[in-house]
Amino acid sequence: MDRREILKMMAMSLGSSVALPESVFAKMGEPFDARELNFFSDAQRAQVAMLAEAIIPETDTPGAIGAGVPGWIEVIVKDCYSPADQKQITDGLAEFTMRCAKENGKSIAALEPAAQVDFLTKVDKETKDAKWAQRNAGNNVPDTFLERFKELTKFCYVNSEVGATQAFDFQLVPGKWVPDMPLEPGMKAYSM
Amino acid sequence: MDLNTKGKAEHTYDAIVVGSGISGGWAAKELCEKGLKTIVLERGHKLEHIVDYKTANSAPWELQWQNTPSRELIAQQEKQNRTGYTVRPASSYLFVDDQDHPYEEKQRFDWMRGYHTGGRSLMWGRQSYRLSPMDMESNAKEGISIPWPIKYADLAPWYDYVETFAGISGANDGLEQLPDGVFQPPMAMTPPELELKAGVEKKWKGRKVVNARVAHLTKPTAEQTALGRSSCMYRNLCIRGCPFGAYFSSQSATLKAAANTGNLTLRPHSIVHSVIYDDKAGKATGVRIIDEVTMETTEFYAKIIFLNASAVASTSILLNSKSDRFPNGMDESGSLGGYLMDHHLGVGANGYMETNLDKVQFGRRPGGFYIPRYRNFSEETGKAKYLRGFGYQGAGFRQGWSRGIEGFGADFKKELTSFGPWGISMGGFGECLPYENNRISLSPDKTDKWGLPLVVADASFKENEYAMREDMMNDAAEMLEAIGAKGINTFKQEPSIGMGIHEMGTARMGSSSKESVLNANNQVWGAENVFCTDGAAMTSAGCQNPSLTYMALTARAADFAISEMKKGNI
Repeated sequence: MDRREILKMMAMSLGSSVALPESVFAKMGEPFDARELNFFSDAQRAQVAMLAEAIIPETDTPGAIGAGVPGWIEVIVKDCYSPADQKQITDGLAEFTMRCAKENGKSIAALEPAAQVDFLTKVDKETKDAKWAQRNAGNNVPDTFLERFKELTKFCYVNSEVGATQAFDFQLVPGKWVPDMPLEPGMKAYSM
Repeated sequence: MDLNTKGKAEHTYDAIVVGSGISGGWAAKELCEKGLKTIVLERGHKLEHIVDYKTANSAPWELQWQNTPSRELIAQQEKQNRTGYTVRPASSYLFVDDQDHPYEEKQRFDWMRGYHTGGRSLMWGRQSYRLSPMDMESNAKEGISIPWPIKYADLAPWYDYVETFAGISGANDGLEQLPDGVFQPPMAMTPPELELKAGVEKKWKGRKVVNARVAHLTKPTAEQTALGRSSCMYRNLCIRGCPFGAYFSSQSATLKAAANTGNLTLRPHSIVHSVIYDDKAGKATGVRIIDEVTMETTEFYAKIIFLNASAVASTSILLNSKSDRFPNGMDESGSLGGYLMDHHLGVGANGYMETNLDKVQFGRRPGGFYIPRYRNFSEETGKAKYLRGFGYQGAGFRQGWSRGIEGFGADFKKELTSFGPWGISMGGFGECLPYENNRISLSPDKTDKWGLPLVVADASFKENEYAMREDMMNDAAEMLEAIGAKGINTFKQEPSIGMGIHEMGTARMGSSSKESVLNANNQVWGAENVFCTDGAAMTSAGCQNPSLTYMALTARAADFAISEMKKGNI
């Protein structure tokens, strides 16, 4: 499946209220080729993009999609995750998508930002409560799908070129050490 | 392969140094500078300074999986991955392929190795502290194991010497348990670290919070500049190799100085099989090597031999060096292979401070603060229910993106791209006693692909080490509580020997050939032209990071070796 076809499929599942820019793949330069991604199905790829963008949306800086996060998520889940963790991602995506459709009547991307946050917060709380109930009962269950997907989205965003250099302050070679520089309001945190 | 006369001449040098790592580089420099034609036999491949540091300037998005290790990478280097940070795309090529370098574990042993020019001097933690008189007298005072055959005073001028050349950033704190040294300007403390220092030193008279001492240049000397080294750029990507030569490594410093003399030959892919001992002459004549690539066996000859292959490897060579005089390896005491030590860690506390929120650090400083040993040290610091003690390494930085942040969407993103409070954390490094039954031996029947017997590790931390870990955890929390830190979290992982990457002992120094492998000058008893000055020589461990001590032992022994040669004694 080439880039254009993938984008068409994603646009279809996203609905008309969200424009899906070419940049979803544009910022994935080396060291992997987006055309070689073959872990997620097209539907899953769309779900990943929608959820990542809801977690880190475009504001005055690009969001997850603009930073190429979906591609990074796919290649990391594909090559670095254990089979059990991969299953948690794919099962979790499916459950989340179904729950969103059932409770909101539409996909996460089609909701207004405030409604996105409300729904994510609700799901997060409920799944975390269930996790702690299990752990307090002595069942060593892993962190929830949403917790882990959020951390993964965050990681891939901070370590992307767009995220690191536009949303954060990127300093490859600081060149000096200052232990107590004045912190001005609005100063961006470091990405490294 | 028997060398003919011409071949033998071509393979004959004044000195052989086995290993090009942190102590081998020093042996090479000292011997070359004193005029000896020296061959350094490095078992691994050549790795050129700067040119071969292929990930040193990589941004996260230029690394595979944004520097997350893949399943395949971890399977290939399963043991090297036990630290949790060594096997990453940016650095995994600097750690051995575990498939090619197996070893036997009767008890778990985490053996981290780097087989290339410079060895682990390229990836080391760079914290550099002297042993104190107390440390070197502990065995004698407590009747544990055997005493060191040397005193702190014997090493002190050599610590001065190696610190001057290497370049250590730190402060002179006037502490008995952590002797002062020759330092370049220290890396200043952040606000929470200063709060910690003030709070801890006020509440506990015996506890001190001082600048970390790290082998990074902050004010290069003319000698260091002439070697092409410059000041630290505060990138904290050190494990990838430094394009500025700012931290001390064999490549950036000692091997360069050695090469500048014109007396250095560096032969990579040279795995030393054994020392060749001439029973009639009563001394070693050279070493046998197996070429890593061609698998050919050959010999090199020299008047003096320095074993600097790293603790376990040097001991393995000695164990494998059999002759009429030494039927069981180059040791008559029975102590060779025993008394393996390491520092135990993975224990401490962290929290955060909400003071000084109008300040932030700039730069990624490679060393923070150090809390030198205070337990079992003086009246003020009490008498604990265990022997010896521990130090802490720690730091305080404004928390960044990796902290836990609640929420989703635009508000979450805003919080994510802002600084969090000042995080402050400290982890302890605990001393390990020398136990006879913490042993390294060679497999009687299993060999690696070069036909060398596999190392068998049979060692563990014991009661004394476990006992001090309670204090290591609780004291850390207590100190953070004293300064009003919030969200204090303690940790105390199950320790594993080797994980400190400070494995040492197994060819200890001592005063008698009946109970040690090396004498007070690091000579092998009975083979006085063979020296061993890496971690194998350590008679006790202290709680201080040991590499600086290996450097000092090496420079001292090289000086002695030269003077003995001049006198015709070896």
